[in-house]
Parts: sequence; C-alpha cells; structure tokens
Amino acid sequence: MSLSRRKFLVGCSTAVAAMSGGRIGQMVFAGERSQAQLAGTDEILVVLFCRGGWDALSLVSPFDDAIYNEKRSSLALENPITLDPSNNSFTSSIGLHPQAAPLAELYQQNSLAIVHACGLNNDTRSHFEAMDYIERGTPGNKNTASGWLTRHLQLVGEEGIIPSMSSGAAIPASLLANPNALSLKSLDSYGLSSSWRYNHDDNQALFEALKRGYTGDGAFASTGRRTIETIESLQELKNQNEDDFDYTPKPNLKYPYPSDGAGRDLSGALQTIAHTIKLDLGLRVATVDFGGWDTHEGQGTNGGYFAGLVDGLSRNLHAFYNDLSDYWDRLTVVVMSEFGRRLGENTSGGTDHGHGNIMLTFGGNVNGGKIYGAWPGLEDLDQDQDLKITTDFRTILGEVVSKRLGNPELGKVFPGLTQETYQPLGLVKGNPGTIIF
Amino acid sequence: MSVSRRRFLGTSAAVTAAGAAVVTVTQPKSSTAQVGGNAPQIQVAATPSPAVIALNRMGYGPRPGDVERVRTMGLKAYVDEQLNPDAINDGDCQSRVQNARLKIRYDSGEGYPAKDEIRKLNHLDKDITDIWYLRDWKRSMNYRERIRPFDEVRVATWIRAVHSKRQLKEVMVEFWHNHFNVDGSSDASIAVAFPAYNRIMRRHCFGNFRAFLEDVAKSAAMMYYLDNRSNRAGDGEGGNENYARELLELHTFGAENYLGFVDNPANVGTITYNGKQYVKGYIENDIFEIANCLSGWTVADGHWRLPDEVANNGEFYYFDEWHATGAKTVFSLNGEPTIPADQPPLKDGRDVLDMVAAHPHTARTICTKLCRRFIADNPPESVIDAAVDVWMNNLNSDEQIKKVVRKILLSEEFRTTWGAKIKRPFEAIVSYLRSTEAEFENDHPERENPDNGNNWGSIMWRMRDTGHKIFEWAPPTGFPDVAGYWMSTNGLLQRWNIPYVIAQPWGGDAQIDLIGATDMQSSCADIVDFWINRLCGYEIDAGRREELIAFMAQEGDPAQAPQPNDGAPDWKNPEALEDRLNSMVQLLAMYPEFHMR
Repeated sequence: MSLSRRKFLVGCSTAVAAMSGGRIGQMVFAGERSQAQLAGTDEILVVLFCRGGWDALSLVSPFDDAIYNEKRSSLALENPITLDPSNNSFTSSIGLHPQAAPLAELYQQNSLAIVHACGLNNDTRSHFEAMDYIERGTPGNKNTASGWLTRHLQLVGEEGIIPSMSSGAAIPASLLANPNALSLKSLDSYGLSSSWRYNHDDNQALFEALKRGYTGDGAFASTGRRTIETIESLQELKNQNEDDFDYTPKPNLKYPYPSDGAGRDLSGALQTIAHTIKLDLGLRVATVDFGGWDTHEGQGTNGGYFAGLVDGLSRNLHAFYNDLSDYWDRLTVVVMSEFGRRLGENTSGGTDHGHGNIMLTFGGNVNGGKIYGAWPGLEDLDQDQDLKITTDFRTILGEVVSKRLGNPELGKVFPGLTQETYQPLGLVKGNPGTIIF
Repeated sequence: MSVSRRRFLGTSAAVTAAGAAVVTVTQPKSSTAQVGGNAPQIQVAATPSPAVIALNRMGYGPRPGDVERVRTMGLKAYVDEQLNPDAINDGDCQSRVQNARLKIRYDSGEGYPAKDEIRKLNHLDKDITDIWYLRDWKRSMNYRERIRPFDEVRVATWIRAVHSKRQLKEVMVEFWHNHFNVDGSSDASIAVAFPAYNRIMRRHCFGNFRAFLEDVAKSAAMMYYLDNRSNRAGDGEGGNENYARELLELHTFGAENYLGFVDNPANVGTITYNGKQYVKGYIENDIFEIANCLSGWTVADGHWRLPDEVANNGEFYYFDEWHATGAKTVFSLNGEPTIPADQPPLKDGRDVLDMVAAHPHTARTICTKLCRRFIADNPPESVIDAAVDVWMNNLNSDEQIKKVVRKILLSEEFRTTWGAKIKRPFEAIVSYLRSTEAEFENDHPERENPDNGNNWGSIMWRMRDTGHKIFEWAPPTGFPDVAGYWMSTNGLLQRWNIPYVIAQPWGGDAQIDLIGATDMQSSCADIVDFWINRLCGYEIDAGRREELIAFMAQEGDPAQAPQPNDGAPDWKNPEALEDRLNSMVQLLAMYPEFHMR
C-alpha cells in the first residue's frame, strides 16, 4: 500500500468540508475528545442491519420448547443445529437455523457471540419508529438530529480518506448528520463520467471547474465538496494501484455473488467494505443493509423464503469474516434488526411484528461461542404475545463502543442511557475505563 | 437529550489546518434542527420568478418556452389549467407512449425459446383479468414475460414525465405512488397487477380520498404487497395485520398518532376539530381489530381455500368464510365496540375506511406530505392548516384532492419559498431531459453487441445506482421526500454523471443536441447565459457563472465566440467545440442551482 498517509480532521458535523485549499490532505479533523482515540484507534466496526424485523425465534430457536411448538404449529424450526449456549437461563434447547451452518462454524470457533431476548425496550411495533429509535440511539425520540454512530465518530474524531461509510446508495439513520460519511456502491466505479477531452489525466478542466464552483454554504454544497474530495482521493489511489484496484477476495471464499438469490446485493456491499478495509483508507465504521425480513405471509421457515434469507446472510457473513482474517484483531461486526417477530404465527403462514430479538456479534476480540442474556421463557410474554426483552440493545452496542472502539462516553453516544440500564454482558474483550453517562 | 446536541451541531467552531484559507461553518437554525429541515441547501443568488418556481415544483422543470408561457398567462391560470388535465391536449405525449419500443430479451428455458424482441407497451391499458395469466406458474414462460407489465408502466411514466403537458398530474401520480407505495419488482403477481394499480393512481389523483382509499385497499397490487389477500380470521393467532398497520401508520393517521399499547381503549382520549370529537390516536388494539374488519378482503387468485367457482383473474374478492364476524372495537371513545357483529359483506371494512378517511389526523398527515412535495421539506404550518381546512370541508367532494392542491399551489408560501428543496435523482434527470429537449431513443435489435440497443435497461440500471429507481422502493414508506436522505456522496456523484451517461450509446442513447440549440457564433458569455436560462431559469452564483464562461472560452476571449485551442486538447479541431459545449452544459447541470426545486 504505497499511498502516503494523508490526514484530515473533523471539528464537528457542521464544520467539515471547508474545502478551502481544496486538498483533502490539508484538512485536520479533531475529535471532541481526542484522548478517546487512544484505545480504539485502529478498530473497525461493521454494522449490518437486517431490515424488516427478522424472525429471531427461527434463526436462534428454542426449538424444543412446548409453547414455541404450539404457537408455531406450521412454522416451527426443523433440523436445527443445536448449540451449547453456555448459559443456564435457558429452559429449552437452543439451536441455529440449518441454513445458518456457516454461522454455527463461527460460533464453534468462538468468533461469534449471540445475545438473545435483547432489543429496543419500547412498545412500538412499527418498523419505522423502531429503526429510528435504534439508529438514532434514543428510544422514544425519533427526531434526534444525528445517528448513534455519528455521535461516536464525532467524539473520537475521524481521519483517513474513508473514515466512515455506508455500503449502498444512501446513508442510514445511524450515520445521520455526519458529513464525512460516504455512501458508495463500489470503489472502482467511483469517478466522474464526461467527455474525455476535458476529463482525463492530462486535462482536468471539467473537474477543476466543478471543484472551484462548489463553494458556499448549505448542505448541498458541503456534500458536493465531500464528493469531490472522494473522487480526487480515489483517483489518486487508482493511479497508484492500477493493477489491483479491481477487488479480489481471498481465494476459496464463498461470497454468494454473482449467483442469484437472497443476499446477492449484500454480497457486493460486503465486498466493497472488505475492499475499503484492505486498502487501508482509515475506515472505522461501516454500515450495510440487508432487507426483506418482513415475513407476514408464507414465511417459509423451513426450506422456503426465510430459509433463503438465512442462507444468503450466513454465507455472506462467513465469507466476509474469513476474507478479513488479517484484520480479526481489530474487527467487530454487529448484526441486528429492528425487532423480533411475534411468537404466535398468523393465519397466512407468516408472523406479525413482535418484540424480543437477537443480536449477533463477530470479531477477534469477541468472547464467542456463547449465547448471552437472561432467557425470559415463553410463558411470560410482552403484551401477552411477544418474547420479552431482558437486555437493552444499547448495552450491547455500548460495550462494543467502550471496550473495542475506546470511547467511554456512552452518555453522549446514547443520550439517556443510564448506569442502571447499561449492564455489560462481557461480550467483548477490552478495558473501557470509567463509563461516562 | 440535553447534554451534547448543541456541542455537536450548534456551536462548535471549525478546526482547520494551516493552509486552509476559508472555513465554512453552516449552523442549523436551532438545536432541534433536523437533517432534511429547511436550512438552505445552497446560498441562492436570487429567488426565481413564480413561473420558474411553479414549473419546477408542480412539474418536472421547464421546457424551452414554458417559463415565458406561464409568465404570460399568470400563475393562477396555469394552476387552474394543470388542475384540469383532461382539458389539456396531450396527443403528442400519448403518441410517444404508443410509439415507444421496449426490448425483451432472455435465453431459452424449459418450455420456451430464447427471445430478443422489440415490443410496444402492450399491457398498459389491459384489464387485469386479461393479463393475470402471466403470473400462472403452471404456464412455462420466462420471468421477464411475467414482469413485463410492470416494466412497461415504468417506461410510460418516464415518457410522460418528460413529454406530458399534464405535468401536475404526473407529479400527483408520482406522489400517490409513493404515498401508497408498492414495490413493483417484489413479486410477479404485483408486476402483473401494476398497470391496474397505476390506473388507480391516475384516476383518483385529484379526486376523493375515501373513494381512492377503497380502490387501493381492493387492488391486487396492494393486496399482495401488504398481504391482506391472506388475512383470514380463524385458527392460529389471528389474521394478517400487515395492511391494517400500514393503513394507519402510512396511508392515513400517520406514525405520530400511534399511541402503542393502551390497556383500556376508553383511556385513549380525544381531540376536537371544528367542534367534533375524534379519537386522539390509534393503539395496537385498533390494528388488531381493523385487521379483523378487513379479513376476507382478498384477491380472486386461485388460492386453494377459495371456492372452486371463483375465477382466478386478479379481481377483488370478498370471502365471507374468512371474515371475523364478531363485534370490533375500533377508535372507541368509551371502550365499547364501534362495529357491530355480523354486519353485511364488506361493511366492517368500509366502516373502517370511512372512519380513517374522515379523521383530522389523516387530513393533516396527507396535507403535510403534499406541502412537503410542493413547498419545502418542513413546510410552514400556516399552509398546512389551510390545506387541512379544505380537506375536512370537502370530505364528500369528488374534487376533494383537487381543491386541497389548488389551495396549496395558490398560497403565498408556494410562490415565495425557494432553495429549501432539492430534486430527487429522477426529478433531476427528467428536468435535464426536458430543458435540453432530449428525445428517448427506442430500444432496437442488437447490432454488433447483444447488450446494445437496450436503452431503457441502461437507464434503469443507472437509476438503480442513484437509489431512485421509481416503483422499486422496498419498504411501504415510499421514496423519502426530504433532502437529507438524498444528500450523499453516492447520490451526488450519480446525478453529476447521468447527463453525460444517458446520452451515450451504452447509457441510454438519449438524443440530446446541445450544439444544434446553441448559436456558436455568439460569445462564450452569451452561450453560458443561454444555457443558464434554459436549465435553471434564474440567476446563479456569480463565481459559478464565471467558471462556466472561462470553461467555454478555455484560453480564448470570453467576449468572443469559442475557438478551438491550437494545442491540447483541441488541436485546432473545430469538432472539439461540441465536446466543450457538452461539458460546459454538464458542468452547469452539476452545479447546485440546477438541483434546487
């Protein structure tokens, strides 16, 4: 990696993009709490959000629980991969969906930890409210102006060419109001398309005029400047890495792409993240979405639609994780969804919106091979119908932020989080020092 | 949430390194400002004329001559013209739709041969019962044949956006497609049902909301998308509540009126509007009960539980056997059931639609969205209030929506607000095609390369990368209508590139003759001003204008006609001037002013 390390620092969300001299290399972005950088400087967090509310009880299933089998008369999971949860609170066996065999492998290797009966402690059963509460990091307030990842990044500062990114067409709410965050679909196609005569290596008249024209206040102008910086940086990278800029994963990995099926888009998006990590562009936080989990009808737990989603998710995660084996010591991957689905199936062979959920965490510093959280059982249900929540989602994310990313200011990342709610489970390794609420 | 927001968003000063000459600090107006609020997207040098505002916000941007026409006839006359689309002769656009040719190409498969054909948009006006067979899995055919009706609606929508004189109607149809969002690519049955669904939007776009709502509720597209077609009372945990929930959250009351779980419905509380009491919001129990009211509303689709004599043709079907017959407690002010047991067929569901359509929350939610579409991301309360008033006073009018839209478009707020709204990618590219008088090139059979001639496919591929491939928004919310969502490094790059890409033989092959429209003997400055007027219709930032002029002149005199350079990159070649002009216009289309609406 021959790229000379160029630094730019960010003052705050609004200050950014003072393109000024026009060179990304001249910019310095300092975190609000620069000492926080010490512990987690090189850590990378990838957040995969499964949109639609996945059926947690079919993915990590209490498959021999009598109530579960009664309530899921046509949708109960068959042929699960039994896991040892290393957790005495479970009142039944617990098993992974058979299509999640690649995840079971990571679990057996102690790279994957699961938290059960966790989630958003709020009554809402609305997708869009739940996602807003979670991604803005403020349960009960969906109008918070920034995302939880944005606030974390503002506290620790961002440096490098791509410190934060969404691998997709747009930015999710968790990165809201972070003008540094890039959205991109691939690195090699990121560039200006126009007539060759005024847009090539020896004549950049168009690009220069574009750049000089993007002055002034306003979000459109500052996003434009960030886009210009990115074009420029990636062009420089391409010039230096011409031969290997097309991404090639490690050999013998099974990213589903380019085959069809669920997870095809996810495959491309994860490879873009892996590419960015391997190019050493300063990536600290990446987000990626995987939609389609809203299985009200014809859920197909066993061999149907849902099974296909689980297959796509699991093979992708397995490939992604192994593609990045050189980075395990500083990589943490969190996989989540806005809620779990209702215990009782509906009359269309599907499940409606529910409550208690699971979260998956991978990484070299994850205390894996265990299912965390207090299992509430299926007798005593939330609103008499849904799995209860015993672990607040902010506890899980807060543990990763404080122990892995070196940022103890959880009260700022998750305003309203208190010592009482934040009861870390020991999910990841690391010493967070004193948590600041 | 008191701690830190001001520090994050309000008061931090920029930190810059040595060498940074200029620091731009944009501060939200208050600590509660949201992304997507009304903080200006750019500094505007000038507010455009009402004609330019109208053409950009109640249409997809001006075509040459439009600004002058609207200025001459006046805003009010233009609004009234557009509110009566049937009186506008749109024959030119209609013949373009009739003459459109869309490729279909696939390899052979089990029971069918390979195809590479250029076909008309044959399914647009077909009754759903005539094309329902396309989703029959027992018939061998390629998937592209099954989803062809959907592909055709999308192409027709593009042509209409660019060429129709009924611009406001097209904007309203797009608005309602997003309000009643259905992802046309998500299911073969939905794709087949899409022309009928599009016709519902076109029929009711200025009509009565209550009637509109029932047609949507009964449509095969919505039935499949939000699953009410399998909403069956009976064994198990209950009927399917997907549609019932989104009916309240997205189509009528709005999420801000969702009160979650309330143990006793009598405790929900009330609001008063014009002296009348209404329930304060909706609770989980309302969703369960409305799902019950709508149970049995399904599609005649050959479902094995339906009686044998029911046709399999995609029409609405009410199946009594699936309907929950007990009394239901919906929006009860006292906890007592509001819908009696054993009502006649369809009555429970219709009662629910009556209630939600007449509720002031529905009026406010939809009027707010209309004002957001037409005025600003965070529209002023004053104009929303006025629109709600018209809505509530016309609940039974056949022209309810038309009257509301008229109120908004003739408001002071409409003609004075600018710079608080950006074009979404579809709007940006359509307005570029309009202002440059572009012509779509029909798909044509392969020439050298089998991928050539697939112009519509190329455009759709590119729109997918922008995140704004119309009719393919997966969740039921519809494409976002606030700038915050679209403001991303991917989004800007894509919108910068498309004006060039769409004119390339591999990128859509749109026929755009910029040089033919330009007097190349006039000065560089005049050429630039000509195109600023065409694309923006209002004054742009002086520095950007200077950049455009300098670009057009390159090393020559801006007060003279452009000349090719002696050396690189022109090498005295006069043809270089066409490249230069094309690049200059692309540059103008990349600058912020073009993207405001």
